Amino acid sequence: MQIACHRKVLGLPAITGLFSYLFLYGSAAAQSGYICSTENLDRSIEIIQPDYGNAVCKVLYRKPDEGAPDQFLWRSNQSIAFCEEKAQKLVASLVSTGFDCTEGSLEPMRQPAQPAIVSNKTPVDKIAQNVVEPHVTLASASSENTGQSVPAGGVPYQRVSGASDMKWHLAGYADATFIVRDFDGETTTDFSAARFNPGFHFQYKDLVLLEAELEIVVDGDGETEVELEYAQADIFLHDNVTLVAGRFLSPVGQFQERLHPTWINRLANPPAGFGHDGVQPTSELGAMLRGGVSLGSTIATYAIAVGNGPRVSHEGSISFEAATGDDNANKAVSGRLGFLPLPYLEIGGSFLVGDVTGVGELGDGHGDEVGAPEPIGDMDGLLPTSGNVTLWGADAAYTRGPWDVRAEYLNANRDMMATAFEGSIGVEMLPELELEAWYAQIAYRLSGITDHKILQRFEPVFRYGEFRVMGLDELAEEAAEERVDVGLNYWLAPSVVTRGVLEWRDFTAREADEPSSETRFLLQFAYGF
Amino acid sequence: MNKTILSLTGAVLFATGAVVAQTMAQSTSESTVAPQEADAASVARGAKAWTNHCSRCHNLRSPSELNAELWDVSVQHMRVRANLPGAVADDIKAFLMSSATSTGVQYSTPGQGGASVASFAHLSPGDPLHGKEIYSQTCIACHGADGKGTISGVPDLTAAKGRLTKTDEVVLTNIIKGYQSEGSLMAMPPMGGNPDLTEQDIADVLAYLRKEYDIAPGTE
Repeated sequence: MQIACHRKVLGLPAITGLFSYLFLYGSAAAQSGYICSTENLDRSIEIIQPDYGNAVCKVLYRKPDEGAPDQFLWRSNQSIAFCEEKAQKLVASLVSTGFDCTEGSLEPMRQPAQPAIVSNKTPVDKIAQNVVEPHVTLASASSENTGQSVPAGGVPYQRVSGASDMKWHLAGYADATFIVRDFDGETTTDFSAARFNPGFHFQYKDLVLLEAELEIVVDGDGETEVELEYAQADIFLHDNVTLVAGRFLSPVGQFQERLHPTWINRLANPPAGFGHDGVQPTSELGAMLRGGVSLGSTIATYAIAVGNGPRVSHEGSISFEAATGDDNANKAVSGRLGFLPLPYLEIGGSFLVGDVTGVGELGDGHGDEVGAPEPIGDMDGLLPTSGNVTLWGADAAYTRGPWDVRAEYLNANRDMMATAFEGSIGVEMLPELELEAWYAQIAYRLSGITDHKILQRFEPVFRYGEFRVMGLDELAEEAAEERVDVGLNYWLAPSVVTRGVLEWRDFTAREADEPSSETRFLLQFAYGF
Repeated sequence: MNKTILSLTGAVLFATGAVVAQTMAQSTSESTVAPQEADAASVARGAKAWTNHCSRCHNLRSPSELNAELWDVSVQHMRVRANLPGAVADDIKAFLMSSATSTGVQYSTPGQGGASVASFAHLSPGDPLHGKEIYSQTCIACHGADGKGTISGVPDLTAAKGRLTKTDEVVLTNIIKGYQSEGSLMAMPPMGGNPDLTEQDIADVLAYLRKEYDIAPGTE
């Protein structure tokens, strides 16, 4: 690179050198420094406090008599003492090689004839010439010039947490929703939900991150419910491998793990079949390996988990929510592979395989039915059996500029099995069950077409989705639906949104004489923090 | 047979993870004793990675929303959730932590009764060639190769009545000190989030933009 040749300071007299010096070092004053001299050479080590940027100090090493580039050897975002310590160690190193060091700084006039050439290099130039500032450069540069090993460990931006190994972060989200519902000729209005989901992240060095999230909601009776969304330890084994252990959000698909917080979700609720009691696994209790691999300018991602897996739900369907205790000896394996052929296009494929085991009698819905079933059987002597569960899915997301376009498909099958369920008389045979859900969603931020201070914050959204249930009529009547959502978001901040959503639901498996359509208007305020 | 395979898979997966964890814990611990390195190149890569990866799921949050330490933990959390390679997460940290300074961000329009406009008489005339290189390393992450912006809230630099129609002093002040226009969700971090850049670098970038999009500076 010949950037320096473009500088107008080339060949200008000394006053230009003085001017350039003041400018190049960020209008910063050298707070302290040392001049180290031999018979023929002067070098300086200066501690500079920049006027802008995060660094509170930098250590500038200058060797004007040798025509060598000026170098910022260390910097700290935290403490001037860091720079002072490094400077003093460098001074000691020079003294040991015969330099005589005293406090002071070289006059700017002592700069090389063209100071801008050496220090006005851009990061591009520095990178290209491998003279960028980190300590790896320091070692080689110092060994060339002093023959001594200079203490390593200096960094351009010292890790903020350098003073402590443990640090933490409170994150999460909260929302409040108001719903107007028109169903079977009756209109109701409710402030339907108030939710607070605090998330806690505790990090120990770069080795472990412990994270947990609670969901605190007010139910229909005014009672406060607290549930543990996830509590997991993330152990960073390698740049590309993280071991996760505990209760974690299922890696299957993209909505549950990554999009369900209301400040991220572009609409006020999950797509049909993608919330609780849907086909998408919500959480898992077990262990998981996950990570990503850089492929040029893009990445490929993976997650593979082993856990207790699904259970039989009260309705005789499949519950994909994590529970302590397994209903059989076989662990479920699930995961997702993702690939980004372009930085703004992601495609993924998911799977889950596992078993569910029937129960002899229903518990209270709080996990009592989990475990070895009581072989009481019904009057026909039928005993609970296990059924194999297989799930696969595909998802895609296009997120470029103001566009946010997504689609996701999930299909789960469970073998024929015997179990007790809600409405059964003892243990009964259930036929093969198939659950299928998909949605497509498109959102567009108006900032893509206008700079108007109000209009640019709006974002219209459209989503269509379906949830089908085949093999369990009662559940199909209750849950199978086609759903259309049209929403409008107004972003108060990147993570604060007010939205209105008009939603049409058509319950596709209900009897002809039963009401099968519902229209809802949802007004929601969501805040991610 | 199926049960056996599932159980075996689970056991092998867990055992593998445990063994790897144990064997690598020491080296990982040692490697983290040394402070993380985040050089200028890392900041530049981090700006691109931030726009590419974080916007896969949610709006990009302004770097000024959290301080550097909180970004450190937050990005570590997102490394897991988004399956980011560690090096990519470190780059994003470098960018966000270096951009997180809240000082200097202007929330009003310089030259219109708001923040003062700095004088840049000491700078050399901008060098478009050099400015192009700077732009392609740092600015391109948010503003895009075509200047129209890659993320919501980033202004179209090519617009006939856009940001570049302001005076050089106003534009340079906005870039150097940071800026957030009224109504915009995104704040321009000081020095584009790369504190290694100099004022002359920014002047060169501005010269490049004016030449590239043929937009002359305004008079007020």
